[in-house]
Amino acid sequence: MERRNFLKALALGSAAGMIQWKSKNLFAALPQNPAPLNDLVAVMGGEPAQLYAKAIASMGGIGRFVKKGQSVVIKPNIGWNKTPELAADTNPLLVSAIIKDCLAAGASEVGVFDHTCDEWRSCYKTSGIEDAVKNAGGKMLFAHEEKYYRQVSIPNGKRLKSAKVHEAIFDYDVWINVPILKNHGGAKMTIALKNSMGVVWDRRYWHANDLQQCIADFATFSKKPALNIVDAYRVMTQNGPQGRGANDVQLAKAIFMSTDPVAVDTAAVAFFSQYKEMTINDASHIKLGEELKVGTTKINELKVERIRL
Amino acid sequence: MYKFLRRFRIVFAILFLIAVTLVFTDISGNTSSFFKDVIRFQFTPALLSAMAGIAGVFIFLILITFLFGRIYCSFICPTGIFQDAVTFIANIFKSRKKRRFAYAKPHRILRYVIMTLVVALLILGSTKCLLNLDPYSNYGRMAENVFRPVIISANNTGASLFPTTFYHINYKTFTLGSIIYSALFLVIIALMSALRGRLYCNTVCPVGSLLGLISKYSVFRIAINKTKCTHCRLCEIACKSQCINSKNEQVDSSRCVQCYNCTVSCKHSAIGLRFAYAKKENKHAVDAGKRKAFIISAGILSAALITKIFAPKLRATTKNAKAIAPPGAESIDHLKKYCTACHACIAKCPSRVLRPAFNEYGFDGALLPLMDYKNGYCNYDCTECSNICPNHALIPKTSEEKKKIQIGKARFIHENCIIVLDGTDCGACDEHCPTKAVHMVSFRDGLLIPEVNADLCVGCGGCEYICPGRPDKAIVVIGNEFHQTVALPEQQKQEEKTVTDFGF
Repeated sequence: MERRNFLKALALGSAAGMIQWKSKNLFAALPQNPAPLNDLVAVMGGEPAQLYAKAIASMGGIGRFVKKGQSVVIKPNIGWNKTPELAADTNPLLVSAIIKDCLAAGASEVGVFDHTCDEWRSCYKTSGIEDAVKNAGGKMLFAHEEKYYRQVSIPNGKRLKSAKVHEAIFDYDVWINVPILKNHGGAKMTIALKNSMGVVWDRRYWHANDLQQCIADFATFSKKPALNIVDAYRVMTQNGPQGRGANDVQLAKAIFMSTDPVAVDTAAVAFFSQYKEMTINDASHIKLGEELKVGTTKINELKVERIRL
Repeated sequence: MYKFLRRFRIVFAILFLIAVTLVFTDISGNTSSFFKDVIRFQFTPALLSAMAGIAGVFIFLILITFLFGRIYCSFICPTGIFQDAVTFIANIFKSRKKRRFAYAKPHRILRYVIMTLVVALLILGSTKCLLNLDPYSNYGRMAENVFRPVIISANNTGASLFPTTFYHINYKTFTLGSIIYSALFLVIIALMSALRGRLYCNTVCPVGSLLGLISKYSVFRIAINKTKCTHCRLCEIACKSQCINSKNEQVDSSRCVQCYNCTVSCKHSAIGLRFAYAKKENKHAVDAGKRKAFIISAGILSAALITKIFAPKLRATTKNAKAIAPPGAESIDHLKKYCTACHACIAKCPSRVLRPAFNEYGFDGALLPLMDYKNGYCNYDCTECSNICPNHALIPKTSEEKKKIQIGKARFIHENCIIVLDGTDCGACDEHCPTKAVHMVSFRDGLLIPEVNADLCVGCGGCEYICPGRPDKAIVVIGNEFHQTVALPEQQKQEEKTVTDFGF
């Protein structure tokens, strides 16, 4: 009985998901460009803004994801009270470039937040993201109190059945996930799937209830990021996610972009493994995400573009 | 001239009170560092800093008192100014007749015995008595424990109305005991000043008594010109210190707080500041009260000194071994010796990890700042608490210095760990550790488990705070009774690598 219900829900859920997916693709693709769009783009060898510009163009432009008049919420990693050079938080130059692009595409407003680990005001400030957001015309959102989070159920989660999710995820039309590529002591890697943990209130629950499974479970939540942009300009290869200092960071000058968080994580792990040994089996939430049909680790079956600047 | 002087006093006092209050109640954290030096000009912090070897402000305060009397009490002391404000407001609701003050006899024995007890305990290395009576520290606690929550609730109302401009702040770090204690002082001081003006300052306040001793010999003092005086009592009625005896033209300089209200009340310019060492020195007979107070005080002081000399380690240090003193405190003993629990550090802590202690430091440590990792953890780079402390109870530290202070050590409790119990990944503690004192090592089935290298641990509590272990945490910080020095974490060298391939 239970299994039947579960399957029913799963079928319904994925059907709904697919319809939504299709309609989006149709809208964007039909008028001008009949050629299939890229699923995954990787660019290397440039400054953050250049990398972004090249990658988003290859993805079909920001207009594919953000329609005129829509509001956009950007979720970078701002977890730690660290300067951009230490690569614990997403590069502010990248965040700035995305905001400007969204606004140029006609976004009504762009909000940015993270449920930080260190004290939130110092994180916002030291990371350089607060200043970058203000200068680019975006808005920093508050996320430090439980009041800003809403209870939702996650019917397709195995261990994580419900969570409190930040209100901006619901109130803004488009959610763009902008993680930084890092080694991680608990989850092994923190990229797109793990970065979404920062939109929920109670992280301890995840740690206490099979962290890797919870990360994958949350990716099944009905509202998903429209786009995942992985900042790999500076990469923390050891002692993550905080790092001890500049020695933990490699200058990689790369970016990865995909609508599929599993695919982009898979690609980013492959890139990362050139610095430090790592597989998607170690960062098992990526595999678990695939099992929950959040995305695919078989990136060879996708339409991928690799660009060197 | 006196009109100007009095107005200047009022304006100066109001501005000073606002600045002091802002240090404790600035919830945005933006303005309080700008004003932080105002609390260094408070008498008790200056005295304790002098005991710790930094005596500049203390000498300044003693000097101005010797010159002009207790101007500290009217211009600088926040509790004093606050009482004046209460008296002023209370007067609005009083009939003309009820507003009048009248000369009151001094309570010499009470005053000097309290003062001596405070000094005696300071000699013995405890601020316990001073902490409860000091006007600055009490005001600090009022501002932090009573005004601040009120301001926060106003802010939170604002945050509900204008959610994008104001943000919500929680009340988690306030403790009920401290709120009640501070509110109690607020009520008592408000009642005393509404009914009897500066009664607290002239009977209980140890700072008032000490400065009173000096102001008895101050160079300039308020005095009555006997030839001009008509004994109309207007000055006596105006005196909130109740120290003017119009009948026999006497002003008790030890109780006069230099508010200059009397000087503007007089229709004949008969009362005002006089150079006291002019010529005649009218010798009063030493009255019996004075003598008794002196004898008792001398007795207490000598007892304290004798105890100090013959039993230097008298104070039994009975305290919870786990209690963690904030960085800069050096040791729990040092904290007890210099801290008067003004709660400036608690107000300033951006991570809100400091709270007033109950009995964690032992009975004599109540109200002192305590690290509590229930609602937050100490930011690795942050030095706010040690830099705001006006007493040198927390010794100012730079960020680099602070990173080498170990206030406690993390202890891993294997059997409580999620990884052991459930066989699933966690690593929340490792994630939050700024020095990698807590790091992950191989366990079983590809799982990693935390391990603590106490030599790197600073005791920040990140691990304890985030540990999801229920009901008992799997990692806790045990406080160091005496803070220790640790090495900065070694940088783990790695070769710079240039990658030209995407890897997939």
